[in-house]
Amino acid sequence: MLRTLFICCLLVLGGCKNKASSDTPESAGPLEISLQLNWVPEPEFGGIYAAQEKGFFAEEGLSVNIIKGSPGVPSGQLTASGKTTFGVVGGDQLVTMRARGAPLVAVYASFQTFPRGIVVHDANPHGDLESLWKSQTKVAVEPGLPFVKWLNHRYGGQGLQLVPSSGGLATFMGAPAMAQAVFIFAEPVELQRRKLPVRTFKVADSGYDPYTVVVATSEEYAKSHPAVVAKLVRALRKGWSAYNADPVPTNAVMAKLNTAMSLESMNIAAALQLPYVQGPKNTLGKMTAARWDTLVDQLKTVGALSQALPGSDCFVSVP
Amino acid sequence: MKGLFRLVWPPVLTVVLVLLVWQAMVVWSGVRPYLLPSPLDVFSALVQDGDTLWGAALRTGAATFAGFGLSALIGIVGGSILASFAPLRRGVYPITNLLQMVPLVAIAPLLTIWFGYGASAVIAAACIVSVFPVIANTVDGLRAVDPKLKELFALYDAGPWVTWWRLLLPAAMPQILTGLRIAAGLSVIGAVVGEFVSGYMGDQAPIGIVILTGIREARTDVVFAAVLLSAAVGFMLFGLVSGVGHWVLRRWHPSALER
Repeated sequence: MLRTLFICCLLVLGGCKNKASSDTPESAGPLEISLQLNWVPEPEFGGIYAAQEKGFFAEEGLSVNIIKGSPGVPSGQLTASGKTTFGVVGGDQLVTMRARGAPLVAVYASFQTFPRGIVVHDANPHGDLESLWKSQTKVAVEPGLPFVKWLNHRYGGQGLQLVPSSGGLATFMGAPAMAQAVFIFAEPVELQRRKLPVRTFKVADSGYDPYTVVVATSEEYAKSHPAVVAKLVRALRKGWSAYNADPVPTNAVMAKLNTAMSLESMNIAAALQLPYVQGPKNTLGKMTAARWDTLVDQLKTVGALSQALPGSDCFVSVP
Repeated sequence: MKGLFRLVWPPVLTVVLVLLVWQAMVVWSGVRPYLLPSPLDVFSALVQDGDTLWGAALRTGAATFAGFGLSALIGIVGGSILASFAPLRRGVYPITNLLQMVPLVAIAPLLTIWFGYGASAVIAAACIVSVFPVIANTVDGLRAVDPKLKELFALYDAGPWVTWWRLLLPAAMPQILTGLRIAAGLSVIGAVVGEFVSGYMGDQAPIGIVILTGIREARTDVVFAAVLLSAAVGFMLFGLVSGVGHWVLRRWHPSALER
């Protein structure tokens, strides 16, 4: 009893409701669940918002509270601890968190190809990622991104000056020699809309290609609510199909939620991200153990993991 | 020695008790380390990630001391000027209040744009956050000096500099020191927030970057250890100010005499 009270105190101090533990019977109306994003509403979450707007969640009997993210929001911790039912995390973040004892499992991989890149001003002398990474360029990245360790492992990077990025573009725009980690079809599109010529190097070209914008939940929830997980995945797949076919209506909704990115930029980004979402085999949301194993190997190689863990444990396969 | 022991043991005992209860609660409740690490986990992080953490603490400490030094200089000199010229005080002093109302998180990216990445922007952040208490206490302290003593100095034809150095500054010192003690804690907060947006990463990472990286990697033990070290920096600065204050006031002020 006291133990439960203590854990409840931790949750209350966290200021969140433990919606994951909701035991609302499915027959008593829509099941309320929450989905924590790890960034502000942008086309990378297009399928999620489309599932909401087009009623696919409701068709599955789900009432999904989509919680906007922000720079640094600990979506993985919130999800693993059950404070939100589902959360969006990076595939590599999920693996490192599992290694730290956080029981997260992926249920849907929104991006089949890693959509991160490094943007440089068009006049930058470096022609590819390897050349850039071997230089003394100042690169703004979010602290703790595993792909930076991979790039350091692959290309050196001893001379590079890494500085923190909170996702804003003002500093980059005012520094012609600078580079910044971006989502390939988000910030570069916005920069070009502002008439700033830029080039973007894809991180996936370096061989680092984890699933991204992964919808995850806690192991406990996935085991105890497999039907809910299956419903969510079905709705997400329909949402992404609809968004890929016609992103404009959903972008109009997201543009109201995120005024920093224009509707025009969102429409361009949605078109550019299509091959990254669909992947080579157009397998919306699906994952394989082999790709998770590759990611685990890479993270272990760069020292982000102290020990290997089975890739098959990192995700729940939903038909 | 006996006096020092009597001074030290109550807070030490409190800390030990808190750590014991914290350890027991974590073990007993089974809460996962990525949510709440035990004190032993934090201690382990201080050892295992020692190179990163202690180096970061040194860099943050240096920036904090520099930012604090700057705010002490600006605060005492600026406060003295404001206290000396009534029209200036009426015009400028209310505006200095803005310094304590500025949301540092909002202007920190601007500091990066103005000062560039690295120590300059971090020092500026530490200074902005901590300068107001020094200004306010200096102004109040200087204005509270007994007018009869000022008249006495005037009677002996003492110039403004001599009056400031021999009368006003010593008389205002207890309040100035109070402002400096408040500024000591604030300057650490300013430095760490400044580092969130301006600190270098990799081998040059200060505490702010270590905290952000730890949160991203679910290394809550490292985050706690980094917070502990930043608090230690604040304590050191606070202790230094208190020590200097005691030394300055030791011969005449009741607060120092009664120890």
